[in-house]
Formats: sequence, C-alpha cells, structure tokens
Amino acid sequence: MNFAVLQFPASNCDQDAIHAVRLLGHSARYVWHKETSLGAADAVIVPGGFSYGDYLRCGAIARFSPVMQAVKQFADNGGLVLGICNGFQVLTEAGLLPGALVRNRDLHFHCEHIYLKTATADSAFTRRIPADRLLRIPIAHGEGCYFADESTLAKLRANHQVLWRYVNAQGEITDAANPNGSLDNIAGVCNERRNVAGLMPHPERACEPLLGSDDGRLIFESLIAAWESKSMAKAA
Amino acid sequence: MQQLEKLRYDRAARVSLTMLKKRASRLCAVLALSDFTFCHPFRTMTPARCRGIVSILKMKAKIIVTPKKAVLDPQGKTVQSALEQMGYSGVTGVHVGKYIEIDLSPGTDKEAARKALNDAAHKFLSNPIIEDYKLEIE
Repeated sequence: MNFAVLQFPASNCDQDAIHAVRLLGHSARYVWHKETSLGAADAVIVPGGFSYGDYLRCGAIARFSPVMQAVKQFADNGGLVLGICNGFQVLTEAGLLPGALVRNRDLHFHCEHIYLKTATADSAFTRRIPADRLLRIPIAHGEGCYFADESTLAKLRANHQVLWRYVNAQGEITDAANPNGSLDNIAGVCNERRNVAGLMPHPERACEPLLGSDDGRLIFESLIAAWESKSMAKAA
Repeated sequence: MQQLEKLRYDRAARVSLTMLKKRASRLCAVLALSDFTFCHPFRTMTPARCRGIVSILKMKAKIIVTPKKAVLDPQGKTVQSALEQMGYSGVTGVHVGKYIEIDLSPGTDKEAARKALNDAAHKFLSNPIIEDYKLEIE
C-alpha cells in the first residue's frame, strides 16, 4: 500500500508518519505542498506540525495550498485521508471534516500520553481496534479543543462520526480526562462518508514499544485492512 | 528697542507655530495616519508633505475578527480576571480577537472592494464556525 505524506512548510511529524508506515511494511513518500498531484497514492496522511507557522489560524493557510486541491479531489473520489494533529486542523479548515479546533481551555500546550476510547469500529480507521481496548497515545498541541455547533454535534452523534474520545485509565469519559476542553471529549471524528478522519493525538508516535506505546499501530492497521478489503472487492 | 521688537515678534511666531503643530498632531490622531508628516503651511511642498497627501488618498480595509459567543474564549477569560485583579471594576466580559488591516490601492471602487473582502473574510480571514467578523472600508 502506498501512503502519501504531505509536507507543508513547518510540518514536523511528516518523518514520524513515514517511519510508522514503513515499520508496518508499507511504502510512503513525501508530497510537497506545491505539488498539484498525489501520484499513485492509496491513502493520504496530513501530518502534524505548525503548517505556515500557524499564522492566522491553525491550518487556515495550508488548506489553500495546491496539494490540498488534489487531496480534496482524492477524498471526493472515496480515497482514504487521515489528518493527525495539525493535519486534523487543516482538514477541518478545508471543510473535509466538520467542526473546528480552538485554543485549549487552559491555554497550555499539552504534551503527554492520554487514553482514547474508540467509539465505533465502523470506519476505515477503527475497524481493527477491539471494542474494549483503550489506546494510550501521546498528544502535543495548544489548539486541540474541538468545537462544533449544536446541530453539527447532533449530526455527528446520529451518524456515529465521533471515532475517539478522551477517557481516563479506566475508560470513563470524564471532564478530568479531557485535556483541552473538547466538546463531548471528542478527540477525533470522520466525515459522513467515513473515508476522511482526523484526530489530535499522534498514533504515529506510538507504533513501537520503545516509544512507550504501540497502540497507535491499530489505527494504521485498520487503514491498511480497509484498503486491502477495498482492493480485494475491486478485484472480485 | 529694535531688538526688543524682534524678540516679541519671534516669540509670537513661536507660539503660533506651536499651536499649529498641536492642531496638526490632533488631526493626525483623528485620521490615524501614522505617516502623515506635519509641515509648516508657509513652506513649499516637501517630499514628506507629498507622502502625507498620498496617504490620505490611500484606502484601508479594517477587519475585526472575534470569537463567537458559543465558543470557549480562554484568552478573554484570562484577560478579564487579570483586569479584575488589577482593580478595574465593572468589566462584565472580555473577548480577544484579531485585527486585520488591508491597504487598498488609491481609487479602488468601495463597493467592489467590500464585496471581495466579505468573500475573503468569509472564506479565509475568519472561520465562520468559530468566529464573527466586522468589515470597515475607509
């Protein structure tokens, strides 16, 4: 499987994303933000960082870069797109995912391991995650507070578009386990078509035990399994 | 005697010049033209004065972006509690936003500029999910 990992000026998790994909035995390559084509990509990762210095708003300038037009087209054709941290912010700014991410409620930059509960296995990004399995994954952000208006939230819940929520070590959704003030403890969502997802935590930084956790692999393994089943269906 | 007359004349001239300068600086403050340079009216046009006149002809768009009421505004809250701690009473809310100033070329059609900038503000300069904006063109 071929992953395209976008590179904006000041992306800084692009190498981690490439490393994680290669660790899982698949190929990945960088796609510079000025490119107008993704090449032969099977999935796109919009990585973390501080694209364009986070000027104006996080992700606001990156969404207008040439490569994002190609990503939009790729997503419209059903391609798999995963936005991590700043990548999540870019995808919400681009309108590929609902809602927005604003300043953490305590104004602090949070850099720590948190626990995630997967809300549904019904997505290309969660299908390999066992229902009762909590994911211990690091976060590193200052603007990760998820916001959406009431009607959007109701729609997200009705369509099971919330994929991950912040929980405590016991798996309970509590206010204390919410690191940034996100509505409904939301850590990650997907679009209505379920082929585009974004999350603030960094699964690519949790793919080997040496880094303290390899729970992030489950998200990438889900993506790979989704693509394999899709290409098998195509072949059949 | 002649010397005394000259002294008086000089003093009067100095006073009126000071008053003129004061008035001009007040005018500058009202117009908020930082690069408007005051020149003595009896002097011929200096390059600085030319710049001043050009700067009056220039058009400016001002866009103020504020967080929507429903969105958490921890910056505003923090500034508010700091104001209270400093003893500034009667503050019932603080909202921290952004101010964007855009220079437009002289003679730009105001209505066309307003239309284009409203479009830009909606698409790019603000995020309608979390922010409101106000646009002024002068």
